[in-house]
Amino acid sequence: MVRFTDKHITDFMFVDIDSKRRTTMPGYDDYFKMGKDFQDNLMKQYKEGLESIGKLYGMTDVMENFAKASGMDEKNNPVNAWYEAVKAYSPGEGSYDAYSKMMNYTWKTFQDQMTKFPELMKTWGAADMGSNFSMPTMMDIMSRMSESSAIYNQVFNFWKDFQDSMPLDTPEKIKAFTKKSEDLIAENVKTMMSTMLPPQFADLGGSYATLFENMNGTFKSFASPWLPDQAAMTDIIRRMMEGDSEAYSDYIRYVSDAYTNSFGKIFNLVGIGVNREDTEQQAQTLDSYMRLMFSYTELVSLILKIARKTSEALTQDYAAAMTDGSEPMDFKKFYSMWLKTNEQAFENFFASAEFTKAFNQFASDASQFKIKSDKLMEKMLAQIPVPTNTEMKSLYKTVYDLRKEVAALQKQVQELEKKAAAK
Amino acid sequence: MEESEKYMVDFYGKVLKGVENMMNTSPEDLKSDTLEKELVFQIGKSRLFHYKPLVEPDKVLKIPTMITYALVNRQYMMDIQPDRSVIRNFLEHGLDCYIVDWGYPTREDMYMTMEDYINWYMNDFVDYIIEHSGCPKINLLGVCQGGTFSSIYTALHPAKVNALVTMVTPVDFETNDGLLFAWSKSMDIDSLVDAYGTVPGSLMNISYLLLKPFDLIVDKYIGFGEKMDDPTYLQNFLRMEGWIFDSPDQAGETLRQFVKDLYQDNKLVKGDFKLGGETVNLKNIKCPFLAVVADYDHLVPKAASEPILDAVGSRSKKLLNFPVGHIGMYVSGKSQKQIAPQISEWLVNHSA
Repeated sequence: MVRFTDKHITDFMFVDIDSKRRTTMPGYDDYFKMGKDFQDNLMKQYKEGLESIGKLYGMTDVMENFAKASGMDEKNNPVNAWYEAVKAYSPGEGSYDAYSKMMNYTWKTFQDQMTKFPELMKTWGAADMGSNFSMPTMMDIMSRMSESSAIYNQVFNFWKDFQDSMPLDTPEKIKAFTKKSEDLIAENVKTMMSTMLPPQFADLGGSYATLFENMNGTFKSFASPWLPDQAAMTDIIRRMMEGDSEAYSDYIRYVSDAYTNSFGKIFNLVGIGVNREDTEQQAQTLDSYMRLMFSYTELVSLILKIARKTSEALTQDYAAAMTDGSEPMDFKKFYSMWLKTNEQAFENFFASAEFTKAFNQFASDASQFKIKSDKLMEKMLAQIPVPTNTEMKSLYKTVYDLRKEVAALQKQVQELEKKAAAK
Repeated sequence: MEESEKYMVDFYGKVLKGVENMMNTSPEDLKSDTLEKELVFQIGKSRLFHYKPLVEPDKVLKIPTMITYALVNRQYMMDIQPDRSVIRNFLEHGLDCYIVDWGYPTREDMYMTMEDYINWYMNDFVDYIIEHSGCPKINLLGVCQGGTFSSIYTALHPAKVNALVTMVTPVDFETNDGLLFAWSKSMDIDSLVDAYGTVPGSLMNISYLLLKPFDLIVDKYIGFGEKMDDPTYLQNFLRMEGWIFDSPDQAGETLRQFVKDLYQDNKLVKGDFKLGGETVNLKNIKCPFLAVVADYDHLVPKAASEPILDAVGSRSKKLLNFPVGHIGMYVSGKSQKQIAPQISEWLVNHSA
């Protein structure tokens, strides 16, 4: 069961894609946990800061009503934590208190990290001396091999199952095997995505069922009061139940539009009151997160659609070949066919306008979310004695300009020296 | 069935043997970039190296050649290992080689522009070589994006370039033959650069993996597993793999301009591209020109690299096609036996 919480936001924001390599280093876990605790706590304070949204727009009651009406499963609710923060809003504890707590925690954690860091470096250094497996290339390759071997095994087990089930001579058998084929490709996609994306995102993309499970509660709760046409929604859900893969994309677009016209507007309202800037910034960050989740879900649903179609075709072609009385294909040949068919299908899909649009939308939304989250985080960190991103960028720009100026002046001096020497 | 099950058992047996080989492999075994060279000039994080000649002094070509690689990967691909070294081949043919190492940009380099890389860094490197070699002009050899930079440089500073070679170089970005070209057209590069400042190389790598996901994420490592019990194969693979994922972060402003002006607006071949306020006219390239193109290039398709031949103003120009991929241009058997020798021969013939 996949749970997507705001902790994943911090993973996405703070952990780079190569985190797997680092997690294998001795001593990393302790250090990483400390960092994670710090990040988690920051997000906790961030959530408490969000309470002001409820206060300003009276959304606390609205959210509670949603929960009651929809029977939301908290375990599967992607923004459950945020919802919890709003629900638990207490008028006696405002965002100022939250920021104070965050500052105290930040300072303590900073000191802890500074103490721990030399020890960690020492541990890593010793490990480097002791084992070639500390070499990044080898570590990376072992990790990638492990993932590709997992897929290889999945394909092998599928092929073996295929042989055991032969002949696929009835519609029921073919249908049952097509389902297995879908499960295989869902596993394959999940494993492949884990090599490229942070684990939380990869987990989300395991199957249509997981995607739907994770998204449905939240999207429905956020969007249902504003859904323009309940009949159209019912029709989409009926098509999903019947296994129409197009319906998943339609569903995501439908709730996305509903969100844009409801909460999407609220989150982008002009703020009022003393904390106006804070609440605006917080609401817009949450909005950018929602948009990122929509575009990510749409992208994955498109990938799964192609994977499913390819898998169906592969199964049926193979079954047809076997019923023609051909010799059973050995695993190596089956793997080659699996590889070639999938590679070709995905190459065509990746070249399509549909994929390009969805991929670029996801990349754009991810960037926007990072920009907004960074700004929010910067605001929280502004009270402690560390340079902020904006300050560093200003410094980088000054250094850059000065470097250019010095280089230009050096050239002028050299030319003057040459001229003087020539006289 | 039994045969296939036996195959799987054998496969994992080879993997286990391969893991043992891995444990017996030292960093020394995996070294690239082994040819002797001297650091002669440095600006910021970028360095200019001069290779030690491999022929008698009187046989070294008088006109030096500066090799410029792309920003997105590391230049030591040209000297990946002793028996697969394009540079070694050049040196053995008497070329006097310099190479630009762009380094690893960090956030302090986020404001670096294409103008900085070309009119400042490249120009200073060229000036250094001219001053220290005594030659008024040098040869430029640009690889991939480095070829685009070299072409722009030559168009703006024709008096300093004796001959220009571009290898697997994109100049016409109109095509959608390669996925990178198709995706970049509608990419929100502003948000990406604004979000990161310097765009992580690991992000760039994800897009490269997507070009052939099943081949590059699955089959490559299955193929490796099947052969990793062979120590030589294992070392070659590890060396190559190390290079592939050794991707520097990208200075944001440079990437922004490269994507917007070239991938999206295709300004260079249209004659609309400006650098430092000056319009870049590829027809200003009048020196002898050689374009080297890979037939099976999935990163820079021929539709993007071949048009440079018509775009330049050179009278003496030549196109060399080879049935290899983008990387095969440097590490394949053809690279050593045909490609590098033909480039060397062309440069020797045009450096009189």
